[in-house]
Amino acid sequence: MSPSLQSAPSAPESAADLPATGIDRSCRWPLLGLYPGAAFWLALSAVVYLVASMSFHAPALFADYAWLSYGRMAPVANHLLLYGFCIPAGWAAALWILARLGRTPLAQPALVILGAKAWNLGILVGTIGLLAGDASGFEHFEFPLYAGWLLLLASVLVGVSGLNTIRCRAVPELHPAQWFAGLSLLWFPWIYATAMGLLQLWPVRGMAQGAVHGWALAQLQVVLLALFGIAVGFYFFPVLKQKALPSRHLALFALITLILCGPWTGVPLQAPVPAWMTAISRVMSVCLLMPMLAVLLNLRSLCPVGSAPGMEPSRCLRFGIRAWVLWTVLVVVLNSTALWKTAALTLVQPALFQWLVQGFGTMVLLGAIYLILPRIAGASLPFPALARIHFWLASIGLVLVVVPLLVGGFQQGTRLADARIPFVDVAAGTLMPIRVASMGQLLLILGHLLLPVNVLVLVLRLVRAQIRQVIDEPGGVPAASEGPA
Amino acid sequence: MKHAGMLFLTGFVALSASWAGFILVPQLQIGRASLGMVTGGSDLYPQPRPGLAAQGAQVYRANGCYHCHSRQVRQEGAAMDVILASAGTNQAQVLSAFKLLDLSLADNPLVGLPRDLLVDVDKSRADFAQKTLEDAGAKAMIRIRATGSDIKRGWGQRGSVARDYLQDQPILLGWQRLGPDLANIGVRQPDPVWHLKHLYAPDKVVERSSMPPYRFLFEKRKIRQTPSPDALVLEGDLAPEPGFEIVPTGEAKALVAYLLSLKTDVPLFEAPFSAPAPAAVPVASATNATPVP
Repeated sequence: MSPSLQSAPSAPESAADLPATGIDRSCRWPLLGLYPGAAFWLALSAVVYLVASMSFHAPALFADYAWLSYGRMAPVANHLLLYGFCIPAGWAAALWILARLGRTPLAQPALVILGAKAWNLGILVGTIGLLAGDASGFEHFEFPLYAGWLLLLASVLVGVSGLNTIRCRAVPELHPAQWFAGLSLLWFPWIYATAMGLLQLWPVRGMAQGAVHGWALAQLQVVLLALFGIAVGFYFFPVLKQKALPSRHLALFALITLILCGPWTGVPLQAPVPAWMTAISRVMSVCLLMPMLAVLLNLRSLCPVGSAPGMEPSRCLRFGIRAWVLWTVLVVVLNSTALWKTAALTLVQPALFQWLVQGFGTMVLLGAIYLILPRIAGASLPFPALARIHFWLASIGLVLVVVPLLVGGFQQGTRLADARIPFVDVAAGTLMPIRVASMGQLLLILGHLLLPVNVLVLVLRLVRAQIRQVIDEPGGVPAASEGPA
Repeated sequence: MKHAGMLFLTGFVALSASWAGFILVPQLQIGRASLGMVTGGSDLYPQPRPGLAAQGAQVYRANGCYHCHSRQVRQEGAAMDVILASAGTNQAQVLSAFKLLDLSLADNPLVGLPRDLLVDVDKSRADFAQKTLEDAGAKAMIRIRATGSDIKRGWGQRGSVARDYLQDQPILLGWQRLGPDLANIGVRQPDPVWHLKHLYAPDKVVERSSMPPYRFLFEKRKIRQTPSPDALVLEGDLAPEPGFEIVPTGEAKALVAYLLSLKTDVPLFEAPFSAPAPAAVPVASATNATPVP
């Protein structure tokens, strides 16, 4: 990281009462409780996606192993990506942003460390549950109850620390990035408790389950990921550009339209639910244009460019925000035309999911990780070149995954609509896009494997430095950091 | 928004609004729905799945079958046909009714009954035709057909409606069609042996099938004194070596029972359709809303 970036008076961080290093130190171990797990689950999810897609290369490959079959591998991959990586990485970014902008050390860091442990245990238990056939049967909310309790507990622990950090802030006025970060901590427990309660614990009847599921899906993918992503964008774009965020009003407009419209967008348009629900869902999906345009207008003049050291992660941020814009445009086009009929129940659905979760959520949070890690560690990344390679592999891989699925999905939809084409031909037509996507998945694996390398080496170095300090000056408080490598 | 209190109030209001709209209201509207009467009959619908099929639903869930198969038939609209069942006694009046309806039929329209008079018309024209013909003393009925590519593929006679899922937990709607829709697989393929064989070796049963085999639902075991009556009859390279047999496990049998129970082939008030061919001696329907099965 360049020293100029850390010391320069950047808009949200200027005139800090508490030195940023002290705040960063308070975040170090809590965030390093969340990040290694997230990095590991992300790499594992990429591998599991490839294993899942093997069923389309050689259908009989896993015929004798239930746990390796597509129906169990696919949800594992989705959950490791969404719950394993995106949510803890999002919380880590949110906590750090709250502490930095509030100019206060992270409150109750022990709760976050405990929460990270509970969360990772929950992911592990849930994954084993999925492999053992305990899936709940609701896409993207498939973790069994016994894993859900752990996730819920972890989210409350992390949330308490975050909300207390807001309460203890030294700056009375909240920065827009704090709005999004603060709400992102509040969001998950509510939606997950609702989904767990009404889908598994006390299930509602019949298609009312579909309504609950659609609501929870939209909250998780459309709202929560956007809260994370916009918080990161509103914090880092001004910091990297060393300018203030142009408009608080636009930011407020984006927040309110996002949380008011986003939750209503999850009902699948072909689903057998009352027509008013699909109608509202379509209208609200088109309304997603509002938060997207507001964020775009706000960040327009702040797009960080340049290849100065320390600026490279901004590539991930730029890619992520652009992916979100593109995703919104796609969703608006699908919902405002008859194209949704073609897209329903086809590969377009996983393509949109991948583009939103990997293109927007994962990319923005990767950028945040690569920007936050050197700051909380007080040392530069062990292998900055790997971070650069990670971005290129991940972005090219992702495009190779999403474009074939999208094109193949529209072709599949067009063929499904023509009853003269036998279904075996329609199904056979989906194989090639999935196989091409496997090539992109290979690149994603290579890329995502680089993150744990950086994170683990950094953690090892920090642990070693800490031990050395304890040995050198017994009883003394460990110093802030070791110098940049 | 300077204050944290205001921020969380906004978040709370937004969450509560969508919670009320998309969780509470659907719960009141469809979560409390009662079983419906099958149109033209006295059966309640849907019936709970029998025990083995209910277990099979859990096998379907555990193995993530819903990741490739949907369980929802899409319907685009409805088309109506008007059928002349009998001409009654006053044939001259019926023929003048034909003129009124602007029907020009080449041959004598009153022989070979019942016959289709109007095909693929909208509801108002069908209603008008039926009323005109019945005023003339003839007996006419309206046949309702669901339309759409799913219906044409034979995946169902009508679109799926919320009531179809009342007995299901979880509902297992599916979000993709990498495999065919299964809402009516029990109607399309009622043979349990076919299903077992298809699960064991899909590409041997359906040519060019891309479905992976589910051999882990079967057990290969040594034949004891007598072969098991459940053992699959397999030929060619699928057949186990002599002295062995392939027997479906309890899970496979339950899954097949579930697949056979997947049927939405009854007309409902909210999803009407008429049987594809008119009965030999059709009875005129009392009202247009009630199709004759």
